[in-house]
Formats: sequence, structure tokens, C-alpha cells
Amino acid sequence: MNASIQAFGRRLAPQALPLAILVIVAAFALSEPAFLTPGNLVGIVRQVAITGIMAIAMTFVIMTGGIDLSVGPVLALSGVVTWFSLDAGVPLPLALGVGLALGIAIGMVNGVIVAFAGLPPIIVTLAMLSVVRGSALILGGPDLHSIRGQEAYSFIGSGSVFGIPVSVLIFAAVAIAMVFVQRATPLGLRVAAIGENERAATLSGHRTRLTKLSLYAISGLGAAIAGIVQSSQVHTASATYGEFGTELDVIAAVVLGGTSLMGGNGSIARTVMGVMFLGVMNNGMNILNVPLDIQLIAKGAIIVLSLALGELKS
Amino acid sequence: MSEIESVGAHRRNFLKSLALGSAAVGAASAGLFTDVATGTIGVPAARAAGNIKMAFIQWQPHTVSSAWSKGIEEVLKTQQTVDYRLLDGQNKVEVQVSLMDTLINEGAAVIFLQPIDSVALAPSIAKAKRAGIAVLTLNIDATEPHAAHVEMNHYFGAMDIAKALGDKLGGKGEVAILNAPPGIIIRDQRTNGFVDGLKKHHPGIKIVADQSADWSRKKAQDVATTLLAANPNLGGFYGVNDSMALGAVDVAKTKGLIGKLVIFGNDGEKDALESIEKGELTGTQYTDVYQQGRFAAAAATVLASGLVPATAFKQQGKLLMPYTIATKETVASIQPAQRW
Repeated sequence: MNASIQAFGRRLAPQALPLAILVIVAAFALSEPAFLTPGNLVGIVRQVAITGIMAIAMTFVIMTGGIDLSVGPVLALSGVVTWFSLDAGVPLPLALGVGLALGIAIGMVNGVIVAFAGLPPIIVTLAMLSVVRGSALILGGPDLHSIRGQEAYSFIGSGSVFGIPVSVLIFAAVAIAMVFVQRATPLGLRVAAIGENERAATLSGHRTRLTKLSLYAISGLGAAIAGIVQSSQVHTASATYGEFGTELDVIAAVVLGGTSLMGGNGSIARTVMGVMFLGVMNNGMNILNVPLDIQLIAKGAIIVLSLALGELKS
Repeated sequence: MSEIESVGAHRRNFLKSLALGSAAVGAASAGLFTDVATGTIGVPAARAAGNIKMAFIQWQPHTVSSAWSKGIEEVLKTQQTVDYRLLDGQNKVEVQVSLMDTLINEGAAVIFLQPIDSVALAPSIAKAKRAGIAVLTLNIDATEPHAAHVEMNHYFGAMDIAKALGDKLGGKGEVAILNAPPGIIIRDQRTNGFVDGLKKHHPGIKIVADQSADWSRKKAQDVATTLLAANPNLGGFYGVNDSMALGAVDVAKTKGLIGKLVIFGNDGEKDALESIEKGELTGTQYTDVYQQGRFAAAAATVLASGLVPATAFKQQGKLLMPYTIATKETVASIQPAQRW
């Protein structure tokens, strides 16, 4: 009897996160019917899109035992650079290209230092956080730059197709593309190999350094996409966006999805679930008008509880 | 002054500015790897030996503090006898404390301060006071009494916002507050003023939700969307800053609720005034922050040139800034040069 309960628990443990999401969705829906309206559900996805894009892009980095703390300022800088380009009359595709390329370039610098100089990612990306924030401030100053008369650009953040916000579609596209990369390309395999045992991966002839470099580039690209979506959503670019704590939200979503900070385990699909979990929780607390102090306590408790369920297997 | 003396003075000043520079670097390196750039801008450092020194330690780079600094600099530059610079607190109490130490050691005459923490900066203010330095705080007061405090009229302004918002709603209905997280006094003053204002002028209006949107336009969009789903009869929003009110405007636009929702902000920044002119945002409390900087600088100049030491004050001076409740009817009175 006892053994069968344990077996049942072991089978259930990997599904702890989806189950936790179901439970809190049910709880919120029962307490406030408005929670389940299509408008609100789409709203939840829109609310997590920016953090979600960054979390998906950072999952591979964390799977290799690395981390990218520089995403907040990269988000700000890509918004500011894209704004300056648009303001200077550069056509939209090119302006977007400039913003995205900048994110990739910053990621590559992180990657080169981490992979080839062998410095700890936490230090490298912490330094990069400082450098990029400073650069953004030199470029944009402390001011808010309004984006006006750029209908096509505003469409990215505020437009919708068949009732679905474009930012949600971008989030979905990034998620699908990265799930594909993880499941069906050599890069996905190499990421897992490096995370499990980097030395073994190198000895097996994998080009681990190039792989790591490209993962940081992907993380930078994700932050740049997020920066463009955000500046378009709020019709403003500012060097102070992506404030301190942004990177923690992103990392929290990845870890909640079951990716180990030590590397190895991890999955893009589960990161998406981690993101949704946080989104549902924030939205539900707002819709029930829970006071902020209680919200903070409840969120912490729910997160630990659901992570603990996932650890039951051991 | 003879040739030799003047060379000597030059060298002294060069050394002085070198020391200043390295002190600034030291202060900056205390916060190495932090999130905000360091830097000093302002009237160039000491040239004439007789000049008095004043500096403004801001919280972190922001539209408001940079407008204050501009106003301060405008007044101080005219005096021809003051060297002024802007120092950045990098959103860190310990950086502000170390910048205070640097300025005290340098023998600054006046320190303008936007304290990150009213309590944590108190010992530094006491130390400055013992050295005779007049400290003027901007917007955020400190627990240690100092020369003067110049602040936006948060509480009474918010009461007037409540009155204007209630008038637009016809004295009844439901409103929601897009609030900031607790931690700074401004947030409480702006919230309490609004709540008390509604009680006084429009007791028929009910506050059905009060949620934090972290001062951010993006978060405010999310929270406003959610609150509208939960409260379909919502008649209006009050954002405790303009960014959050503009977030609610964004939502109203996509949902076709412009003109139906009454939305008020607080601050009076450029984008908010423009939105009012377009008939989207209903109104905001506008404060001329350049003027706030000028007022603070005027007080400082009078103190410094009158050789009034900080120890001469019986109690702390206080100045509340005049303000306008900007709505479609009044917004045109705010001149382009007053917008920030």
C-alpha cells in the first residue's frame, strides 16, 4: 500500500508544475469568475511575454551551468538604439535589425569571455550589466524618449492579429522555434551534453566553446527582442528600463521550470510553464485585489510549495 | 596676483581637482558592478580659488532629478562664485553615504540631497551639520533635521486630484488606484491625499482596487487590464505617477474606452501633458521641477552668501512647491519651456 503511494508520488512528481498551475487556476477561477474570461487569459500571456522571451532565451545558458545577468540593460539598450534609429529615419526592418544585432553582439562578447577566457559567467555578465547600463545612459540619458508616428513599430507591442496581441504571437514564435532547436537540432543535444559533463563533451569532439558562445548570443538576442517589444508596448524608450531585478524574474522563471542552476537538466517547454505559473499567480493576486504585503508572502509560499512537490521524487 | 602665485594656485587647483576626481572614482568603485552609470556633470570643477562648492547627490538618473539639476545649475551659474556638480547615488544608500563623506571632506558649502533612505542618510546629514554644511533635501525628507526641505505638494495635490477626478465622474462610481510598492514616503502621501480627498469631496465614490504597478507603464498596462476584467463597472483610474496613468491610457485605447474612463496621473511630465492635450489622459498634478531646483538653489545661495552655517537653524525649513491640476482646460497654460 505504502509502496504504491510512493510509486504514484514518483510518477506524479515530474508533473508537479503543471499540476500546481491547474490548482491555482482552479482556486482563482472559483474565487473570481472574471479570471477565466478569454480577455483575462490572453492578458496573462501578454503580461508574461517579455519575461518569457528572455527566460526561453536564457534556458540554454543556465542548462550549461552558466547565467546571464546582463539581460535587463540589454533590453534597455536595444530599445534605445532602435528608437534612435527610427528617429533618424532608418527604415523599420533595418532599425529592428540594428537593435537585434546589438543584443547578439553583447551576448557574443559575454560568450567569448566565458567560453574562451574561462571566467565565471556570473562575474562576466555582472560586469556586462554595468557596462551596458552605462552605455545606454550615455546614449539615451535619464530621459524617456517618446515613440511617435511609428505606426508599424507600435504594432509590435500594441497591435493584434485575430484578437491575439502581436507580443503574444512573438512569444509563441520564440517558444516554438526554441523547442524545435532543443529537440531537433544538434545544438540542443550539445547543450545537454555540456550541462551533463562539459569535459566529456569536449573529449567526445564537441566544439563546446563555440556552442557556449552561441548560447550567450541567443540570450542576448532574446533580451533585445524583449527590449523592442517593451519599448513598443509602452511607446517609450529609456536607458533606465529593465531595472535591477529584471534578470532575477527571468532566472526565477527558468528555475521554476525545473532547469537546474548547476546545469544539465532543463527544457524550453518547462521554462514556458514556469513563466506561465508566475504570470497566473501575479494576475490572480491582482484580480482578487490582494494587498501587496500579503501578495509577497503568498507568492513566496506558493513557489516553495510547488518546488517542494517537484522534489518529492528524491 | 604675481605670476608665481598664480602658477601655484593653478597647481593647487589641479591637485585639488585630481583629489576630487579620485575621490569620485573611489566612491564609484565602492559600487563597482552596479546597475547605474557613474558620472559627474555640471559647472566645471574649481578654477578660481575663492569659489564655494555645492553639489547635488541624486538617487539615480531620472527625468525629475536631471530637471532639478538643470534648475539648480541655472541659478548657481549666474552667481559666478559657485562650483556645482551633480553626483549619482546609483540607487544605493552606501554610495550616497560615501559621496556625502567626500563632499564633507572637501568642505562643500551646500549639499542638495535626494535621499534614497530617510533614516540611513541621517548620520551623514548630522555629520555635515557638525561641519557647518547646509543640507537641502529634495522631495524625500530625512529623519535628521537639516537646513531645508523642498518638496512637491504630494498630499494636498493628491486631494485636489481626487476632487477633479470625482467632478469628472459626477460624484459617483468606482475607481482603482495604480499604486507603487511601499517604501518611500511620496507613495504614501500621494495615496493618502487621494483617499482623504475622495472622502472629503466625493464620499459617493468607491475605491474598489488598490494594486501595485511598480511605477512602470508596462506593469500598469498589465494591472489595468486585469482590474478592468475584475471590475467591469470601473469608472476611473488614479496612477500615483504619470507613467502608470499612461499605462492605463494605453489599455483604454486598445479597449475603446477613451472618453469613458476618467484617468488621472501625478507628476506632470511632458508625455502626460501631451496626452491630456490629445484628450486621452484626463488630468494630472503638474509641478514645475525646474522651478523646484531653482527654488532650492536660491535658498542655498542666500544661505551660503550670507554665511549662515547649518548650526544656526532652530529648526528645519520647509517649502512646498506650487502646482497646477492640469486638465484639458488648464494644460495650455503650461509653457513648453516649463515641460520636462
